[in-house]
Amino acid sequence: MSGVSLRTLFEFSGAIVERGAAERAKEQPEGAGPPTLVGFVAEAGAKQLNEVLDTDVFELLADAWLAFKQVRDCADAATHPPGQDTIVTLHDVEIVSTNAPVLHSSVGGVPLPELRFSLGLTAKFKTVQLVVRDARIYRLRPGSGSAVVKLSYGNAKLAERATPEWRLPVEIPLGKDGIAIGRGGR
Amino acid sequence: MRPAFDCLRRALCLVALTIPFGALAQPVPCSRLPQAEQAQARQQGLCVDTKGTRPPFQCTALPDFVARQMTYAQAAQAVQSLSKNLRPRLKDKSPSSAPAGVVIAQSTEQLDGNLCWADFVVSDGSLVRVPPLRGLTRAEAAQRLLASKLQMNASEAPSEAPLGRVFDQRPLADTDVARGSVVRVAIAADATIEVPGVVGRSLSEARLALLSRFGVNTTQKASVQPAGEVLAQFPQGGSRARPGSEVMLTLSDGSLVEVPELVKRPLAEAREMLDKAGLRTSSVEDTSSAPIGMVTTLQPPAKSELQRGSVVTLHVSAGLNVPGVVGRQLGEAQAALRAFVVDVEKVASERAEGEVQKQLPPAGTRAAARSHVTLTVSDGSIVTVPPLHGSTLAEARAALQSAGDLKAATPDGDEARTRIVDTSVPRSGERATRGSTVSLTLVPLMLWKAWAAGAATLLLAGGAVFYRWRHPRPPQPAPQAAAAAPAVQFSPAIEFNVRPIEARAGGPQVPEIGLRAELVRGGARARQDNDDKESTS
Repeated sequence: MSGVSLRTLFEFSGAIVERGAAERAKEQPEGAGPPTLVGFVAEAGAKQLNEVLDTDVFELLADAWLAFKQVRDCADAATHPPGQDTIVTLHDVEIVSTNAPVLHSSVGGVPLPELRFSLGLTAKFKTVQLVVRDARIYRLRPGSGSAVVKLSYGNAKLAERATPEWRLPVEIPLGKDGIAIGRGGR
Repeated sequence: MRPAFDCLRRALCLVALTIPFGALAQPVPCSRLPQAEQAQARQQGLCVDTKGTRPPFQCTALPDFVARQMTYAQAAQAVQSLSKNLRPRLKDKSPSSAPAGVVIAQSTEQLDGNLCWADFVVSDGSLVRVPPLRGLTRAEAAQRLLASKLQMNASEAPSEAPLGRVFDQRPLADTDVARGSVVRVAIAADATIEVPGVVGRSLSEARLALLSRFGVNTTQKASVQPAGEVLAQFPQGGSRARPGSEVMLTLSDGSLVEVPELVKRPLAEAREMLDKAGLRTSSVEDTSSAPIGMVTTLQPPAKSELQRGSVVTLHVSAGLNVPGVVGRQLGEAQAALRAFVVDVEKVASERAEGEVQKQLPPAGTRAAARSHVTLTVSDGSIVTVPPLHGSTLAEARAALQSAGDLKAATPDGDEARTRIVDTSVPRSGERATRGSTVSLTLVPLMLWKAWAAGAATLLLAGGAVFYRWRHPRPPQPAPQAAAAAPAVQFSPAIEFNVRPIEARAGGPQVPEIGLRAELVRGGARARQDNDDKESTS
């Protein structure tokens, strides 16, 4: 899609993984066990987590566009004939996407409790244009924007990264089939 | 006698039969017929004028005396020299423009018998001839009339004749009039009025301005101007034309649209301007040093005139590709990023000094030329304490030195060769500032081996027992490597998820540590500030 991955906005480090593991130990005081996710193990865990953050941001945000009525209205074939491009312009858009990077670990084949982080992405766009045709969103023109990523484990906030000036491609193709707009909307 | 008479009679009859009958009918002299019948009989050939009849008398023709000065004596002399039958007669003087005493007409008139009158009409010189005045200026005409002893009454009138020239006169030229008569002349005046300029106005405004004095005829032409606007007129505004003449107006049909100037404008704004202009947009991304999203060129170019609804292709800057410089030396990175403004942030790191550790924006993204690229560069001040466990003091010192000018310190100052390194502060694998001191704890060689074996056994056995207690899973086969490993040591070179932990000091393998990560995707909430609608997808 855009080539803008979640990892460009945030990266795990060994220290963050260790802090996450410490928070998990607090939640499970009776069975926390030895601190396995420390040192090099934590670094390796961070590396694993960073790999899953190589996910396109706009793929995560894809369904959010369907929340807008202006977009859903484009699914009406009576007002938007087939084969005709319609440009929907949205102003001052804010999209919040919450995802959970999870680290599974095991010792000697014995699984340890998973380490489930919460990664909240808040993306703001001054102006977004969506190119809609045949009830599908084919291209996205995000213009200028900003992004904030917050990482937490449970209720504990672990890190926050802000990107005030988010450099994005001028136009982002949303795949050959685009994003289908359900008739009738949500 | 009788036969002779008969013979003569027969001969006469024969002659009468052989010659035309008419030849025998002798016409009678016309003079014998009544005078009233003479003309008809003469015409029908029933009578002939007999020979010897005097022809009718005719007056002697006069030579041309017209335009000659003639007195009575001169006339008598001239006439007598021509014929004795002529008698001169001067008629009353007639009014004429010829000089007085000049013959203006002559004729002859037969008297009884063989006499004729020679009549001469003589001018009294009382008239003058009106000269031709057409084409003359007012002054020339006046001068000419004055020379003819005539007066001039001039008036101006619209005419197509050259301005200021006489185009009509009364009486006409060559007419004889009384001396001192008035000749009226018409002098051509300007017959045109100024045509108002209506270019740029609407048709209704143009009609309002023109129709009271001129006729209007319109034609349409493709133009970018609003439909109905006057593009051109003939005659042009300010020129002069005859009232009632036709003014040709060229009107815009409004079918063309002018491509606006869009270079250096943001794509969204350029699209909006083209929409307003009635043109469609097609955009193409180009790698360009212009700011991202800015229009660099357009096809067709600005000021072009296109049919409404035509497509204009906008070439939009997509910025420049940011090259990846992580892992490269700063100088090399700066050279690669010469199209950008490079900000350098030095951080304490164990990597080589000057090595780029991180870049923002990351490699592969597109950024505008001269935009800022921040490089996080290692200052090389952090080094990793090498593995020292089990090393001799000399080995430890050499390892510390090569790791980053680290110095070794022993609390008790004991440097006996029989001792080896047990622990260090900072510990092996931990980070230390380049050139700092690492405190070593030395133990006797034998004691260390026993301690290491015992500690490893206890650690692994304890860990295994603890996990079995926490996760009682009967089917799980107990990992063999965890059972009573006599002496193992973790290597800092462990690579998880790839292969089991290696043991340096031999013995069974330690339990394998596995790591796997996944991203569980959640929902996305969208909100638009201007209508405060919030929806969740």
